[in-house]
Amino acid sequence: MKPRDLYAGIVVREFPAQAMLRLRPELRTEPCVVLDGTPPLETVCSLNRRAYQLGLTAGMTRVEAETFPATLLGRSRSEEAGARSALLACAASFTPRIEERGRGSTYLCVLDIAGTTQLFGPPAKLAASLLEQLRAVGLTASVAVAANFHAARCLALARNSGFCVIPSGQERTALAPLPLAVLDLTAQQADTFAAWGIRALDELAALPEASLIARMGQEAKRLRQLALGTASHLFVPLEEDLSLEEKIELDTPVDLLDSLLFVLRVLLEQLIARAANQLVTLASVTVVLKLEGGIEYTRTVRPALASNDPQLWLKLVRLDLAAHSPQAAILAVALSAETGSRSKVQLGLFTPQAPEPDRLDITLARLRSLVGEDCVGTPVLKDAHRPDSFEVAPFRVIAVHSKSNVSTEPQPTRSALRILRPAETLGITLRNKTPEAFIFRAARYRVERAYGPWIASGEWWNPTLWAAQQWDIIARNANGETLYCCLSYEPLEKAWQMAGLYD
Amino acid sequence: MTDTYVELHASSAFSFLEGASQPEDIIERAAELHMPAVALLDRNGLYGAARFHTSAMRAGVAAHIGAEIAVGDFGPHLEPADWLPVQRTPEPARLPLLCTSRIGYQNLCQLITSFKLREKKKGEGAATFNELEQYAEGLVCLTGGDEGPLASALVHGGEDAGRKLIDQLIGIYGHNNVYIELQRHHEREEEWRNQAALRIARSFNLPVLATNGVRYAKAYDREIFDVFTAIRHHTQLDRAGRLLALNSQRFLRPAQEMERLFADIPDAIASTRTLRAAYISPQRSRL
Repeated sequence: MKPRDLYAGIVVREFPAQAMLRLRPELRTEPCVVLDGTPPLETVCSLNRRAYQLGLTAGMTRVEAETFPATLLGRSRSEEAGARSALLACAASFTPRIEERGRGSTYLCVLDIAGTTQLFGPPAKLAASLLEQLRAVGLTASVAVAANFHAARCLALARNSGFCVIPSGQERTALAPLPLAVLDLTAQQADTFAAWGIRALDELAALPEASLIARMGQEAKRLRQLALGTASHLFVPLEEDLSLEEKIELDTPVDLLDSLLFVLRVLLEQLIARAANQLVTLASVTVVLKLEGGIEYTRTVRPALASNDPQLWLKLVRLDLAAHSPQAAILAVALSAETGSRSKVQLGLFTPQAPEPDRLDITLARLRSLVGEDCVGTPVLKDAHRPDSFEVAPFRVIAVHSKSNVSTEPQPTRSALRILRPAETLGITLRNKTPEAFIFRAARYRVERAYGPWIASGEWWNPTLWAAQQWDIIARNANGETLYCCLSYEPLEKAWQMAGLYD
Repeated sequence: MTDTYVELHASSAFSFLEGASQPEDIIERAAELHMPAVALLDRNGLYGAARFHTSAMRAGVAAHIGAEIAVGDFGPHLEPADWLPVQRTPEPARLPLLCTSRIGYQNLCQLITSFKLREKKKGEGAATFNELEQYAEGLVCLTGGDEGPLASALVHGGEDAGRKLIDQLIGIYGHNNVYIELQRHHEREEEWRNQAALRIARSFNLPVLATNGVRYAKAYDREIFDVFTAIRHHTQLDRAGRLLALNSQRFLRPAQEMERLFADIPDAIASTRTLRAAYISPQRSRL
């Protein structure tokens, strides 16, 4: 059965100002205005409540605004995009069907929440949760829930904050006291209605339909349906991949890492709040710093385990930037994140207590800052014939399989070779190009059996070309001690070495 | 002429991208080394046989003809160990077959034709046991090197699997027409397989045969061979890794060098002479 239509309108007033202030929490209690335009012809495009109380209004010039004790901020489209992305991420955690309706400095979107009662409870509970999540990402919004798309939109526009839920069939009553301004009238339509003395939606709804169409055309019929709360709407959902990104343009260039950390903390908290809303965990965070001179400096932090702990992320980012500090003052910061699954640790009553996974990441990051990025991780064999060729891959926690997966069949015994690193240089005597005797660790050994040479060479096309020969040797010294070993000879360097000892 | 050793397993550039020298280059090198005869065993075909035979006649070297035949029923050929990073795609093991008579040549041609007719994509065809049995007459079977079925059986199933395989080959070609092939390219794993192959040869009372599994005429042609390998796997030299050759030992070796290399198994060198004399005499190999 098709669920009953239900829509939730979300309105964020003074969106440019809110987008700027969500990443600057210290300014939220101050009067702030956002200026738009080309200097020196900038005008106020958005402002917060404190600024309104001081008497500032939209459209004032910079000179007029500067006469008030208010903080002036330049409009940032990238921060607005970040705020929009955060808002959509919150909305997407309730429904995938979202339609955006731009309206000047007011952000408006409508959610199709039909059939969500089983998941999120009654509409009032959903609206409260939605407002709570928006508050968590630093946005103040108003929400209206109604069975008609346009009714939800108009009612949300008419509210300053909080939420309202209109029962189905009572849209006309709820819309009745609202001003005509919520209807997006053209200037001509507004003038006509003003001339007729029509100011509220109930007055428009009361007009006879046929006479209204005769005077203002078919568009007036639609306006009347909007006022009645019966206008139909073809829902056009937003088709956009939700990405976890936050950007901020700094008011002044920052040289010190400690100063940057305040900004990073706010950005990380925002990212984590958005990730938590989507029930995902951050697996990696990429920090892009815009430096003086137009340079972009990028660092990516990827801990062994995905986490949503802001303190952990801040520590990891700080350690990474401390080890790889940018070479110029920072003008803007952008953070983007990749998500991963939250690590699961199965604890047991009798299992020994292991260190916390988060501590592992911090330890690894500290080690990296001490010994270098490429020297911490898991050694992985390279696909190459060159002896000892390996690389260090980022450390990953490997899932431990249960004992039932381990084969209980007896494994054939194998001899182990202990590689000497670095290999020890030898004095050697040859006969017919075959080792006959050698001195190793101050003892002279006589070769009893020699197997080889095992020859390898490669990378002939590179300056790094290499060649190696090895011999497996059974040798005995004057005390009768037997040595099973592997000798190596490098033809390019003409050097004999003890490569390893067999157990 | 030094008639002590004859190379009976060489591949030319007609083993598309698995051989780095033209048939003429192999013959020219054999003549330089005073080798009385060479056998050409290209992959799944006799494409190089005509040029090989013509240049051999000109150089006074006897040309013996055969082919490495992919056999799907043997499973994939030797793969690196599971714990090694590799990028190889599995290919069926290839059985080296040498013609000993005109009938053998005809059978080899029919065998290749029969499985090539089934090919859906170029180079992917493989013969079956039934086809091997059907076209077995006049052919001598070697056990091959890295690409052969014995190396694969030994690594995957140990000596038991190796014995089972040799038993199958004896069933198809007869006890007198199966040779346990030994190659020495100075590789540890290969020597381990050689020792196992020697034990199997003893247990079946089969002759062992030394070859060098030649893929290029001279040692420095290994560079061309590596480039061909990279092209064959659609990659670059820097990214080819273990696909490339471990060393440059698969060239046409002088008889003295082969005798020194197989000094502990002189029978393996002697077998090359006896096989040539008994089965693929120059008169019979003129096909």
